[in-house]
Amino acid sequence: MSKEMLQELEEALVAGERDKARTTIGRILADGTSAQNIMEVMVSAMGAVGRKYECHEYFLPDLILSGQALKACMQDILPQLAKEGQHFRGKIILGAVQGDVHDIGKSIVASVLAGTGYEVFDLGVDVAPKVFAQKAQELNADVVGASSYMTTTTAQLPKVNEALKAAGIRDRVKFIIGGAATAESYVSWAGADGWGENAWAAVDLINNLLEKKAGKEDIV
Amino acid sequence: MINFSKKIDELVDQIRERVSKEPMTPLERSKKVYTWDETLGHAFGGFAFWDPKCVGVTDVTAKEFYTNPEKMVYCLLVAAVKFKHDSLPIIADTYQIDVEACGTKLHYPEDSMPVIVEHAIQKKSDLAKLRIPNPKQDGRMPYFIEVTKLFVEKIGDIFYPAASTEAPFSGAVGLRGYENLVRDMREDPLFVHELLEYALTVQIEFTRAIYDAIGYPAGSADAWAAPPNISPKQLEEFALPYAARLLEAIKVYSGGKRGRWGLGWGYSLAPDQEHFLRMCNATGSGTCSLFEEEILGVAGYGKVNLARTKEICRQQKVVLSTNLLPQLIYSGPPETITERVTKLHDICGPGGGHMYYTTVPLNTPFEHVEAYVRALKNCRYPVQANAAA
Repeated sequence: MSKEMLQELEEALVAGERDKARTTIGRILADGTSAQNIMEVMVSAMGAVGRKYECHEYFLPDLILSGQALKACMQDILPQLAKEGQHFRGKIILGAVQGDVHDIGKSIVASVLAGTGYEVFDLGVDVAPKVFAQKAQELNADVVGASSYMTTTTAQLPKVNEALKAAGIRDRVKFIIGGAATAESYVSWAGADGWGENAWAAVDLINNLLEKKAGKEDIV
Repeated sequence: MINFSKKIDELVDQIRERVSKEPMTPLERSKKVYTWDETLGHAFGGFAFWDPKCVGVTDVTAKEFYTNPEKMVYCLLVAAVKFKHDSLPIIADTYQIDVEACGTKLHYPEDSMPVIVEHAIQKKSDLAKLRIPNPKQDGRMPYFIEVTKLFVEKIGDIFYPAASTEAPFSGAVGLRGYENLVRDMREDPLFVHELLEYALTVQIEFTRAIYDAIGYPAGSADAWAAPPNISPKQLEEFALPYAARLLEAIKVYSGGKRGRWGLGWGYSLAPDQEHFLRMCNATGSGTCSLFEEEILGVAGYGKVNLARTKEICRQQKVVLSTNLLPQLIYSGPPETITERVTKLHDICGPGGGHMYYTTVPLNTPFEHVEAYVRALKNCRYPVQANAAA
C-alpha cells in the first residue's frame, strides 16, 4: 500500500498538484512510512520535473506548481524528519539583491533546494548586502545565494561578497550567484564561488561546493 | 537650476546638424527597413537603457527618468548625440506604466527603475472593481504620452518614434502577479480570459491615446508570454489571441498601420519552431524580435536557424529584429561586438527587412557602445552575395 501511495505522491508532485500531494502525504505518514522515505520520493520527483524542463516538455509554470507542491509537502514532513533525527544537508540563504524584486526564479531554486534536503532561508527580494551577511552569520549558513534579474542590479553582487568579507565570514561561507541578468563570466567579477544557470544547476553547484567543505560540517 | 528645455534644444541642433550631412535621415532609413528596401545604406539599429548613467547622464536621476517627460527625452537625446545611432527606442518601464494606472502599486527608488510592490488584483474578485484608466489622467500614462509627444515635436521628422507599451498577457501578469496567474491558468482559465479582456481594453485605450498624440502606433512587448515563462500551448490560448486583437484594433484606429508585438525569446523551445514562428508572425505584427540567446543557444535556450527564421519572416513580410546580448555590450571586447554585428548582417541583411536592438547595461564602457554603432554603420547594403553565403 505504502509503495503505491509513494508512487501517487511522486505523480502528484510531478504534476504540480499541491492539494493532492498533501493529502497523500498525510495518508503516507499515517501509514507509518518514514519521512526519510518520503524525502527520497520528493527528490526523485524534483529530478523528474527537472528532466522534463530540460527537454522542453515542462515550462516555468510547471516548475512553479511543482515547487509549490514540494514546499508544502516539506512543511508537512518537517516534524517527522526531526523526530527521526534526520539532518539537513546544509543551510542555504537566498535573496534577490538590493533594488531587485524578481522573485520567480529564486523561489524555484528555494523549492528545489528544500526538496533535495537543504534547509533554506529565503530572505525575499530587495535584500541589502549587509542583511545577507548578518543572516549568514546569525544562522551559521553554509551558502549564500544572491540573484539578480535586471542589468541594473548586477552591480549589487560584488557588494554582497564585500559584506560577507566585512563580517569576517567569507572564508567559511560559499557565495553563489544566479538570475537572468547574470552569466558564468560574472563569477570572478562578483567574487563568487559559482554560478547556477537554473535551479538544478544550483543544486549541483551547492552539492559540489559543500562536498569540498565536507569534514568541516556534518552534512547528511 | 538646469534648464532642460534649453539643453534639449541645443542637443536637437547638434543632432540635426549631424543628420543633415548624412545621405538620408534615420526616419527615412527606418521606413526602408519596413518596406524591405535595400537602399538604406547601412544597417539600422539602436539600443535601450534603463538608467541615465548608462549613457553618461549624471544630472538626471533614475526616478526623474521614469517620471519627468522632459528629462526622459533629454536622456534619449544625449545618447543620440554621444553615440549617433539611428534608432532611439522610447521605452520606460514598459511592463508597469499601464498596470500602475489600473491600481498596481509601485515603489520609486531614486537610483533605479520603479518596482511593483503590490499587484492590483490580490483576490479574483478585485477584477470587478477595476475600471479602465483614462490615459490622459491616470498614473504615468500621461507622462509616457508626453514623452512620445515631445520626442516627435523635437525630432519626429528625422527619427522614428518607436514607443513601446505592453501586450495584454504581460499586462495580466502585472495586474495579478506571475505566480498567481500561473495557478489561475491551471485552476480557473475562465477568470484568466476575463482578466485578459480587461487588459486588452486597457491597452487599446492606451495605445490609441499614444497614436492620437503622435500619429504612429506603439509597439506591444510581451516578454511574460515568451516560453519558458509560459508553454507554447498556454501562449496559444492566453497570449496570441489577445495580441492579435490588439494589433487588429491598432490597424483599425490608425487607418491600416501595423503595430509591433514581440516576445523576444522562446522560439527555440517550441516543439515545432517554424510553426511557432509563423503563428506568432500571423498575429499581424510588423516585427519579430529575436534575442541573441536563441541565436547562440545560451542561457537555457536552444538554437534557432537564423537564416530560416529570416526567410520565414520575409515570406510573412515581418521585419526581423535581432537583439544582441546585453552581456556582450557590457563585456565586449569591441572586436567581438563588431564580429557579431557583422555576422548577423551577413545572414539577415540580404533582402532587407532587418534591424538591430540591444540594451546597454549600467557601467558599460562607452567604447563598447561606440563599437556597436560603428559596426552597424560599416555593415552596408546591399549585402554581398558571397558574404551572405
